[in-house]
Order: sequence, then structure tokens, then C-alpha cells
Amino acid sequence: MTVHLQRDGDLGRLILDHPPANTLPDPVFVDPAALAAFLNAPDLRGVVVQGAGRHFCGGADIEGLLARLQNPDALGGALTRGKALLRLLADAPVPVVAAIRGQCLGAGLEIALACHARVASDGAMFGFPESTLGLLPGLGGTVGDGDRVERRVRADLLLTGRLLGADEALALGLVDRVLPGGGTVAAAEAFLRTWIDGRSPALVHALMEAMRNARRLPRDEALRRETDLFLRVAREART
Amino acid sequence: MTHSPLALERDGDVALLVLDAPPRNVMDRAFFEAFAACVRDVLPGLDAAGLVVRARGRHFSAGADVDQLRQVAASGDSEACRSLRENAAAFTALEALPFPTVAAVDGACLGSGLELALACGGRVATPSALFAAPEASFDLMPGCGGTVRLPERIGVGAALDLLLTGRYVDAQEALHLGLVDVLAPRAELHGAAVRWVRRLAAERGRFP
Repeated sequence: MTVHLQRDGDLGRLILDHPPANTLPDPVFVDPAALAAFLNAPDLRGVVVQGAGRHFCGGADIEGLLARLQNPDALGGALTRGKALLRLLADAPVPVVAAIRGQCLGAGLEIALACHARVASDGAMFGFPESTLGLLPGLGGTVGDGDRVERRVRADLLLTGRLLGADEALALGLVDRVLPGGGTVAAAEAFLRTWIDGRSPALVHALMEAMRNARRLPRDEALRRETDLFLRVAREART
Repeated sequence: MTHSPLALERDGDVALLVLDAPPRNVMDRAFFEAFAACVRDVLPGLDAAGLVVRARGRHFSAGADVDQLRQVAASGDSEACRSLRENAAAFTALEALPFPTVAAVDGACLGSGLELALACGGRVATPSALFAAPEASFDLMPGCGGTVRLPERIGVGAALDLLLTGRYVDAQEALHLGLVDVLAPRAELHGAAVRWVRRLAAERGRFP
């Protein structure tokens, strides 16, 4: 598995590159320290997560996974570190948007759901097929982390393993935008631009921090810190 | 004596908290002071099955008085900061009332107006209601719980979309996003909100 962490001006790209379907041989799909440094670069304003070629990510590499089951303790540790990677994405100080075409399955869907928004081509396919293989998702897919997939929808996808097209994924809240044909990465960038263009980096950072607090802290504490952030932003704002 | 920006009324067993500074129902310092006092001193003692928060006039609320808010925050004095914390605390106290609350929204529901609607247990709106969190367009962000309550209702992605772009969401999209629970024509908004709050009360096992 190769993951490229690239800079393209003020945007970053995380490219899953393991053709043909960018399956993950290892739940720790990128070096955690490298990802943390990449996401926290002071001049970074947003990130697009994409797959090389025709697919986003077809999920875990099943043969690699079965081989790893010979050593369950090591696999458990790797899954824990893999979940920490998704948390780095979800807690990033700048918005992270997934550009999805082709397969977005299993661990691929877990990566996509860890992003702050998802832009998909109309040919994209979504699902948690793990149960059809006698497995279940290992990177937090059974729990969710602030996404808007309802519990009954999540249960349906997990239990049946059925695949969704992009339009149904949109209706069920798995994706935020669907567009016809290609150009998914450009569309995801354009979507990201509507979030950050014209906004000061300090304001975007403050909003990302407030949203992170809302997911990670006791509710009263998140509410208290929102007012702190509001005061900071208001004092820095141009008058 | 100046006109109070808030009125407390009744419809049978349901109490009505009415934003009463039409047409825009701007939430200025006077509004927040009246609101905080009402939520702290009056509402908890009411004998009511539920509370509907509604507005006089065409619009629910155009939100806070941005200039006033910015002055207060920029002054940095502890009195000013305490008043901002009290605004935020009043919205949270609304959630802690011993009966359910529903916002009845027509027209504009912006900024702190949206935060007030989000602090209610349910939201009923007319087809011409319009929602937005435009704070970022003023180099500001929500300060009364919007960053906590918006993602609770509609998820992180949609919440960031509204908070960062400041775009307007019409009633149909608000319903699809889960920002609004049910739509009702303008003539039936009040009745629908009262029914909704009674339904929430029944779910709490307090009513009938």
C-alpha cells in the first residue's frame, strides 16, 4: 500500500494508491506521525482524500487480513492504530473532503465517513460488505463519529452488507454531493473552496476546534469553550 | 417604560414565549437580558405541559445585533464577557426546563435566532422559513451553542457547510437535513407547534 501525502498550493492531498481498487493490506495505511505533521502544517487550508485510478478504496485487502488473523494481538493493535488515523482526519484543524468514485467499501467507507464531507460521482458504490464475509468493520464503522448516518441505516448496511449507489447514499446522508461523470477530485476541491475561500484561517481553525470539542468533550465543557472561541474570534476580527 | 422584546402568553396548557420586536426580532442586549431573566426566574415555575417559542410578525429572528456583539467582545472587559456567557447559559437553561419546548419558525431564522431554535426540543416551520448561520460572513462564529447543537441535529458535514458558507437553507432543505421536524402552512403554524410540543410531552410520559 502506498499513500501519498502531497501539497498542492494551500491544499493537501491524501491519495490512496494500491491499484486496482486501493485495498488496504494494513489498517495502519499511513505513518501516523507523517499524517499528523501533514494535517497540522500552518499554511494548510484544507485536504482532499482521494483514490488513485478508478476507485476510492475497495476496503481491506482480504487475503492480507486473513494472513494477519494468524496473530490476533498484532492485528488488534494495528486496528487500534488505524482508528487513531481516522481520528486524526476527523479532528484535523482544517476541513477534509473525500472525493469518491468507483468502490467505497468497508474500510474505504470508514475513511470516507471520517472526512468532514463527501463528494461522489454518480457511479460510486458504497457499503459495508464485511458481514457477507463473516467479518465486521474494524475501523469504527459500527459506531460512527459525528456523521449523519442514522442508526437504523447503519444497522441495515452492516447486517445486510448490501451495496448502495450514489443517489441512495445521498438520500441516506452518507454523501453530501453527487455529480455526474468524472471530475470528482475537481468537484471536491471546488466544494472545499466554498468552505474556506474568503474566510480567515483563524476563523476556520476556531470553527474546526469548536466542532471537535462538540464531539470529544462533555457537552457543558464544549458549550463553555465555544464562548471562549467566540470571544477570541470577535477580538481578532476586522472591524 | 419601553416595550418589552419578549411576551409570555398561553394557549390552554401550553405556554407561549413570543419574540416581540417585529419585524426582525433582532436579539440585542435588551432582548438577551429579558430572555435570560425569563428563562431563569419565570419559566421553570410555570405550570405548563410545554412551551412554544414563536415570534410576532413575519420573521422568527434575524439574529443578534452584530455591531453590539462585536463592541462587547472587542471591549474585552469582564462585565461584557460575563453578559455573553449569560446569553449562552440562558439557551442551555431552556433545554433544562421541566417540560418540552418547540420553536415555531416563519420567515428568517438566522444566527442567534437559529441557535435559539436549536436549543428547543423540536422545530416546526412554514414553507417560507429561511435558515442560516451567517456569522462567518461577519468574521464571527456562533457563541450561543450553535457549534454544539447544529452538528447534533444535522451531522458534522452539513453543520460545517452551513457554518463556513453562511448560505441560506430553505424549509424543504431544512426538513431534509433534519434541522426542522415538520412543515406547516403559515395559517396552521401555531396549531402544528402546539400539537408537536404536546406530542413531545406525551413521549416524556407527563401528558396527558
